[in-house]
Amino acid sequence: MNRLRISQFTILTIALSLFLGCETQVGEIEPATTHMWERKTISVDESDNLNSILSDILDSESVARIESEYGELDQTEVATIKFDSLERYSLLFKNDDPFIFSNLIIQDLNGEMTAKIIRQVPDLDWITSFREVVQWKDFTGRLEVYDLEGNLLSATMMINGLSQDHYNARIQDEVCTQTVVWQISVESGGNTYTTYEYGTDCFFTGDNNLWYSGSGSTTSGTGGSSGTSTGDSGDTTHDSNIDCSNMGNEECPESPENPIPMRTIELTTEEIKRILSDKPVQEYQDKCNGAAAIWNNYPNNEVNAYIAADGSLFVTDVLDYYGGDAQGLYVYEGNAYYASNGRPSLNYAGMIKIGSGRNEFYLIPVVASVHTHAPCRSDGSNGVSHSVGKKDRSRASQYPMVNHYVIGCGAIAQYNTSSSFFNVQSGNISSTCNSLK
Amino acid sequence: MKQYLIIISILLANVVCGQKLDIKEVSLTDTFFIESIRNLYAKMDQKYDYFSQGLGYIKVYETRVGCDSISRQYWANPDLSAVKPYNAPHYYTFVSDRPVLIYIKSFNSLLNVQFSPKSLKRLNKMLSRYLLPSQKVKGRDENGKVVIKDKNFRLEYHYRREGFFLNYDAENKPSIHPDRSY
Repeated sequence: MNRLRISQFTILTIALSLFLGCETQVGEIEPATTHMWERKTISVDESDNLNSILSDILDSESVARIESEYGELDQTEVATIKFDSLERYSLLFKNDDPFIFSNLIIQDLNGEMTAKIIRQVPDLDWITSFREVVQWKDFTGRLEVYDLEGNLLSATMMINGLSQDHYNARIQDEVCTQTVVWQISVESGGNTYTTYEYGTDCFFTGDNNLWYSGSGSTTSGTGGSSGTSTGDSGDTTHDSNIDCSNMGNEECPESPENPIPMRTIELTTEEIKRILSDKPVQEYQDKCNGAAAIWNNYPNNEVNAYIAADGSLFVTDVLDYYGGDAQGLYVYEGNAYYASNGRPSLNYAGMIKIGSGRNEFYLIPVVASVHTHAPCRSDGSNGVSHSVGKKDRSRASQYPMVNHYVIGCGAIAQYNTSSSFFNVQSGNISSTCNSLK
Repeated sequence: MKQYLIIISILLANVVCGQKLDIKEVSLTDTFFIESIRNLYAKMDQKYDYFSQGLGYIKVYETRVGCDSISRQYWANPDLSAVKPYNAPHYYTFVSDRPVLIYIKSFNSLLNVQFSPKSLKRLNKMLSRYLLPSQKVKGRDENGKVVIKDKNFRLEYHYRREGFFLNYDAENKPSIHPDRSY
């Protein structure tokens, strides 16, 4: 219950601060309880504590190994959050993936140190829906937790900032909830945009520790928040998510021209797709639900998906009709696999793990490819009555060991390297989907 | 392209004699064709990171032979995958020092063409510098048992609707059409 109270207090504090701009918080906030909550950004060199903590938990060899996996550890700006006797430090790993944030989180609870690595991998649809300004407070994607050896401890799906489920045998009882929001700057097309990075509180249901909170991506950036406004929620959050009364010697940021430290990232849709296309973007235990979803949710896209050996369906690419790339299959001894860069959400039967850390792949056995022919919505055809396209025949020739299907308008059909579709099933997708196998 | 006709007869003789074909390097002389491939590479370099790094190649398929008002049609499409034995090209060439794999439909419709493993290996060796690096991997199942040992694990990518159709009419006049098919 204590953990819940802490969480509720944190949320209440943030909710309160959402309604109070910095300018109204010149005086000290008087919370309803006697808890002390402090948040600030420091460098490792500025903190006697942090320097020794870092050297206690990481020798130079470990630092080199971790940095080779996740990127260079930024020691110039460390997000710290203090809550009573609990102190947490968040250090950003600077890497080439603009939307995959990795942080080293160190927790000091009465001198007892815990350290883990948090990796945040946004959902493709969620991140591309923003185009330019990403509202991290509604983070949708995967939150992955690793130990300092690079072993995955847990992976949690987040939707709109809330934990959905958990996939790991070692930490079954972890609950993560989005709470704190940070400011972040995005550069796109020569403009700089200001947006916010989400924060997360993770609890263990078996004890009283709130062991992780905040993402802490705090690299200095350029440009402030010139350019496009972030919208209502963003503007409100900008001024209010910082506890201005507890910033130590730092001045309260009064305007967008004086933002808290931020990370500058370059945003291109192509880059996002490239980065995120190596892991299923949507997964459905029930292939019929998956088939209906890809057909109903993407009227203007070509959606590529696969049927796994256990009958589930996972989506790998959402392309437009003006081109795009899609990861191919890995073929080994006549069997085809989709190589997911990181553990997928579902636990697929026969899944094989290779590599570790950033080069960790999960090979999902695949028995069929499925993609949609959305243009039939406007051309009056059923989408499978024309000759099989060159691209589709080419795909079939590259992966002859799996079946290939197209979902069209009121029809599902199979194809191979010949010019005509076959095994055409007409009817509602809920009745024809069982032919996908 | 005309030289293909000469090569067809040579290869036909080889296949009839039961030999497996070598995948051979050829030279292109059709300037319109060469320029079209060059433009496709330029577009891909601008749009895709891997291509801008000099990776990737272009496949060209002969797709129609002597029908309707189109005497010949070729479909060119970018790719970033290793060539498999069941999907090998008949020829390869280079445009702007980058590879182009050529698949001739009329061969397959006439003959059950098979390529020599040696030439396929040679082709993949040449292509490897245009592909993502391969890694030596061991794959373990959920019980930790090693079920895959592969020296050549690599990620591959395919590109949809980035290519073009190149049509030649009855008078051998070429025209190019972006691939918007589905």
